[in-house]
Amino acid sequence: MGRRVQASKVNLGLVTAGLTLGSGLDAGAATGSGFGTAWLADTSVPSTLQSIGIPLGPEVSEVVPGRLRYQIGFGTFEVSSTGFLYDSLTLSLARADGTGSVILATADVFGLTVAPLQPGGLLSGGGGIAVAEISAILPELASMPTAFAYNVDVELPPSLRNIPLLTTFDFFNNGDLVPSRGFASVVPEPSEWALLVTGLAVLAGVGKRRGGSRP
Amino acid sequence: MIRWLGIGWGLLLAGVLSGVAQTRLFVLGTETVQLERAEPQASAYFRAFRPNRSTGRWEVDVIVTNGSTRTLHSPLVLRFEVARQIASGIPGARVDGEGQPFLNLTPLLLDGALSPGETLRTFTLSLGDGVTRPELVPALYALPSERPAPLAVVRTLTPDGLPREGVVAEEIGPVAPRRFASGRGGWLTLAATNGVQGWRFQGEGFDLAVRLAAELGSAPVVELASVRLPATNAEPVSPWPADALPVPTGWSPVWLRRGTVGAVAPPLVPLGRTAVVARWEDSALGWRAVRTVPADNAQPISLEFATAGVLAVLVADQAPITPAPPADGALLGGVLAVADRESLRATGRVNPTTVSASREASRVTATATVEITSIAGPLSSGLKIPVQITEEYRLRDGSRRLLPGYTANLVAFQSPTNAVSGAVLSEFPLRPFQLLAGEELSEAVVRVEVLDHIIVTPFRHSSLRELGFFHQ
Repeated sequence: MGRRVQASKVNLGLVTAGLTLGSGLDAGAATGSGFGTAWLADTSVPSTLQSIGIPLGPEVSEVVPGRLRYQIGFGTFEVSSTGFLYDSLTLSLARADGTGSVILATADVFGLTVAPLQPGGLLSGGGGIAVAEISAILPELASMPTAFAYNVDVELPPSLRNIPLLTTFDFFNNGDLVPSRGFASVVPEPSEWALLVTGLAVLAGVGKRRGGSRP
Repeated sequence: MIRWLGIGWGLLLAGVLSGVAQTRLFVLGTETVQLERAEPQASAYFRAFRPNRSTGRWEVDVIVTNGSTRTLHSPLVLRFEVARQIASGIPGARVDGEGQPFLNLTPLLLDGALSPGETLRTFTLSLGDGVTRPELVPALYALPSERPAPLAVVRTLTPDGLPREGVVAEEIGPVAPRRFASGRGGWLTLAATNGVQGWRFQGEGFDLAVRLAAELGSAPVVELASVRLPATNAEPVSPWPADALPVPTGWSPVWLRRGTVGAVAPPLVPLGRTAVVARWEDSALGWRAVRTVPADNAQPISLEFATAGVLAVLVADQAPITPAPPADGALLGGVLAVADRESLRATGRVNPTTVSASREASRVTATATVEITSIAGPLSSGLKIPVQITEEYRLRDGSRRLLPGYTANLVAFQSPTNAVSGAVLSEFPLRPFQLLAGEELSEAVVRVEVLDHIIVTPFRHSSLRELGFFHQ
């Protein structure tokens, strides 16, 4: 019984994320849910800002107490120079209602900029951000002269644990027609993946049983 | 052909325009400063442009870097030549006279300057609404560094007041001081580049004379007081001309000697006037007070020094613009004196007015005195008086000679014994350039004209009043 409940929670989280994609935010040609699978955005969409909000239910922090892992990657043909605003991809985290939003990191032609923790901000009181470059760059970025990817680990302060949160990915297009592309995702922990698979299996089993019981 | 000519002119025009630095006025605190736009290589990078969902605004990290080859000197301003879609503005920015926002970055400078290759501490800008794409074109402005060093124009004179070529001026201050020799007519043009505090003038047979770069102020070109070099004198104690060393404004030198002085016998100092015995200190480029001279003092003051030096009795100007009495051992300070040239009146005299012709310079050298008064009130000692001296000769064979005139920039002082209160006087030697005997010369007239301005360019002048003349 308890196992079913947990599976149901994970499933709800995924459903919530999927519902947010394209619901009022300018998703444009962006693809992917951003949870478990990479959310991709690029400058082929003329919109100044492409964004996705991903609600993170309490189950996320229950399964991985106090820690969130993101992956972010960015590639561009832009070349840094003075006086320009460049394409970028930004990770933010807020309470579920959007309040207290803090910027975690921004990727652009200069690389990954990790936002400093602000006193009184959402992550103050025990939080922290750690990043590590990874080689797992999506093929879509590989051909770009500037391309990189990072794991971004966010240590949640006690006050944010076990409460619903909202993370947002924002892709800024400066409109200069020079291509850029970025991806981001919330990475479920292995135990979370296990719960996810279990939940899906249960759902599949229930569906089969329902289908099999039909006359 | 015409096409090429047109292109040629276009290129020429472009070259001229690009050479003109763009300057703008900025109000920083309570001061309005004129700053020059830096080269495009010195500007700001905008890193990590991002929406801040907490504030509903864009944020961006600003990295100001000097990619140019010249040092940018404080104050430093980041101006947005274009700033669109930034409502409701940029916190911390002010707006200039053209309505463009700018940030005063001066507090971020560590040593008052941003050297080539140096980067300022990164700071974050907040602007716009976090949704609409803003448009920014930043530019750095700093103190104009291409401003040419102020120039001193100075004429070197012999002890008897004639232009003297070949006098060497050596810079005071730089580790590797440069030396310049006065050219035709005794003229020298000296640049007060960084580190130059003044110049020492020396020539064969002449003793020390000094001029200070501080006299230039902020003017691009200033004619300094002419340098009348003292003749080298082997006497243990010898008189010293008043205009060889710079005296702070507001002080009159009434007694000058060079040597290891045993006793100073100053003239009587009128009641109510401050007087000091001061010694020229070459390392400090100033006069250091040795002892105060009491008013109405009739007694010699005994002083003796181990090494030879220049000693003077300096009398402070009368009220209302009088310098502060210095403490013994302190350097003399001057007063800030401004004279309205429209209010000046000049008179003059030459003593003797007539002398017999002679080939000996000392026999045909007179003393000229220029006295300047002002209807606006007392004048401060140190007033510079430009004069032009012309000479005309009539020879016994009936021919006439008219020599090119020359200018000199004299220094006038209040004289404590002068009957005209608030007037300033300049006494200087006057003699004909050509020394002719009586059998050749019928008459020579040497004229001194006081010019009505302080010379900025040495070739523009107008006559205020013919001062006086004497016949040889």
